[in-house]
Amino acid sequence: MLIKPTAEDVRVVANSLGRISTLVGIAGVAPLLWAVVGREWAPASSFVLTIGVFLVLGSLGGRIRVSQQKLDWTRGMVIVALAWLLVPAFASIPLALSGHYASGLDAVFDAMSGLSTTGLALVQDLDHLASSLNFWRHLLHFLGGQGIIIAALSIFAGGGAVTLYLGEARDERILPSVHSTARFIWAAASMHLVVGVTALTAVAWLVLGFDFDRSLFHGLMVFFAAFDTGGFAPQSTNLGYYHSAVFEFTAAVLMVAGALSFGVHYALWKKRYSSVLLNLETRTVMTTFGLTLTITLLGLATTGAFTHAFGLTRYGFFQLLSAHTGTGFSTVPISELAGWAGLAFAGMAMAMAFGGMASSTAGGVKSIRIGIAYQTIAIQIRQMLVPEGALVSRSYYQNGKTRLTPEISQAAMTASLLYVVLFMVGGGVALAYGYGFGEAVFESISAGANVGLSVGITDPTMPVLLKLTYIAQMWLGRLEFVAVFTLFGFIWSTWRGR
Amino acid sequence: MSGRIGRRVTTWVDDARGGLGAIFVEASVVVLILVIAIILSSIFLTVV
Repeated sequence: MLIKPTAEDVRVVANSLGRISTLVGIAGVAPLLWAVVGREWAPASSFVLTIGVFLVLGSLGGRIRVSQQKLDWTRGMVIVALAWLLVPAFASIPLALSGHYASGLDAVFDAMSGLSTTGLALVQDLDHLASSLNFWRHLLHFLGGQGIIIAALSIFAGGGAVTLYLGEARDERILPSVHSTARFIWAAASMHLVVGVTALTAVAWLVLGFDFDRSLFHGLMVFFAAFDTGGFAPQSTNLGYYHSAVFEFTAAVLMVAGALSFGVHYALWKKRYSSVLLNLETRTVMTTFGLTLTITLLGLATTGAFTHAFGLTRYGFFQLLSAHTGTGFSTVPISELAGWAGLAFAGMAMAMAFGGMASSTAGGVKSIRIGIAYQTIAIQIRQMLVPEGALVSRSYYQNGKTRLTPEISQAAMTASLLYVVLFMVGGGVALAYGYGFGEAVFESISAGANVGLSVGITDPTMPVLLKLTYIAQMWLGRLEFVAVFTLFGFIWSTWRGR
Repeated sequence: MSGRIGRRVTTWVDDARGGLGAIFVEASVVVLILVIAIILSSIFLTVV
C-alpha cells in the first residue's frame, strides 16, 4: 500500500529548498560584484534580479514552519531532485536576458549543463559574451560540482544530513561524519583552486603572453571547468583556443584530480599510496583508460592524418582524457571530432560511458560499478567451474577490504543497466529526428554521462523535444537515478497513496 | 590561546603539504600516462 506524504513532509521539503535557494542567491553576489567592477551594467541588473528571486524563494521557504528538521530518506531524495530542477531554472535568468540565447529553454539547457558539470552548450556568439556572464556559467560548474547540497550541509543542515549527501550520488563517507567529510571536500577543492588557478594563470601570462588580468580570468574559468569536470570554456573554440601543449597538460592534471573520488584524494593527502593502488576503482579506471586509449590511438593512427607520435598523442590523449573524466574539453573543432570513425569513435564513446570514479564530479557508469560488474561475472564463471555445492566468494578493496555480496552486485548491475537504457533513450530520440546512428549515440552518451563533447547535434536549431531529452539525461545522469525515482514515487504517492 | 593557535597553524601547514603532495602525484600520473601514450603512438604509426 502506498502511503500518502503528509503535510509535514511537504513543509520540510519546501523549507529545505528555501535554504538551498538562499545559498545560491548568496553565491550570485560574486558575479554581481564582477559585473559592477567590470562596468557590465546590463548583466549586473540581471544578477540583481536573479539574486532577488532566489532570496524571495529562500524567504518563502524559511517562513514555512516545520515541527522537526529531520530528513528521512524520502524527504532528502525529493529535496535533492527538486533542488537540481529549481536551481538551473532560476539560474538561467541572467543567461536568458543576455541576448545570447535563442530562447529561455536554451538558457535553462545551459544552466542545467553547467550545474550538472556536463558542458554541452547552446550559447550563441560566446566570444562576445560579457565576462560576468561567462563567470556565472563557470561558477555553475563549481556550485554543481562541489555540490549545492554539500555546501548547504556545511552551513545549515540538522539531523538526517546524510540523506542529502547520498542523494547527490556521493555514497562515500571518508570521515566519520558527513560534516567532516564535507569540510574535507571543500579543503581539497580550495587547495586545487589555489594551485590550479595559479598554474593556469602563470601559463597563460608567461607562456601564451596574455595580459595578467586576462590570464587570471582564463585561469579561473578553465579551473572551474577542469576540476569540476565541466567542459565550458570562455571561448567558442574551447581549449583549442590556446594552442598550447603546456596549457593542455595543466588542465589535464586538474581533470584527473576532478575525476578522482574524494576517498582517493584523502588517501593521497595522507600518503596512503598502497591503499590507492589496491583500490578497486583505481585499478578499474586505469584498466578502462588504458584500453580506450589504446583503441583510440590505434584508430587515429589508421586515419593517416598523423605523421608524428607527439601530435597523435597530444590530440588523442587529450580528447580521450576529456571523455573518460567526463570533462568535455576539446582541442579539435566539432566537425573534426565528428569525423573520427571506427576504432577512434568507439574508444571515445566507451570512455564517455565508463566515466570516472564514484563520489567525484565525473559522470558515466563509474569505475566502481564497472569493477563490481567484472567481479560479479568472474564469480559466475568460477561458480560454473567448481564442483557442485562449492561456494565461490570474492572480495575487493575500497577504503578497506569489502566482501562482494549479492546486494552490492545487484545494485551495481542495476545502475549500469539504467545508464545503458538512458543512453539508448537519448539516442533513440535523436534517431527519430533523422540524425545518424553514430552521432545520435555519441551525443546521447555525452549528455547522459555528463561529458559535454559534441559531434554537432547540440545546436540552438535542434528540436525542442531533443533539448528536453538532453536536459532530462543530464539531470538523471548527475543524480544517478535514485533521487529522481524517489521524486516520481513521492508524486505518485501524493496522487494515489492513502 | 597561543598554544591553540599554534596547533591550528601546524594542522593547516600539514594539510597544505598533504594537498601539494597529492597534486604532485596527480601530475606525475599524467606524465607517466603521456609517456606510455607516446610509446604506443610510435608503435602504431610504425606498424600501421
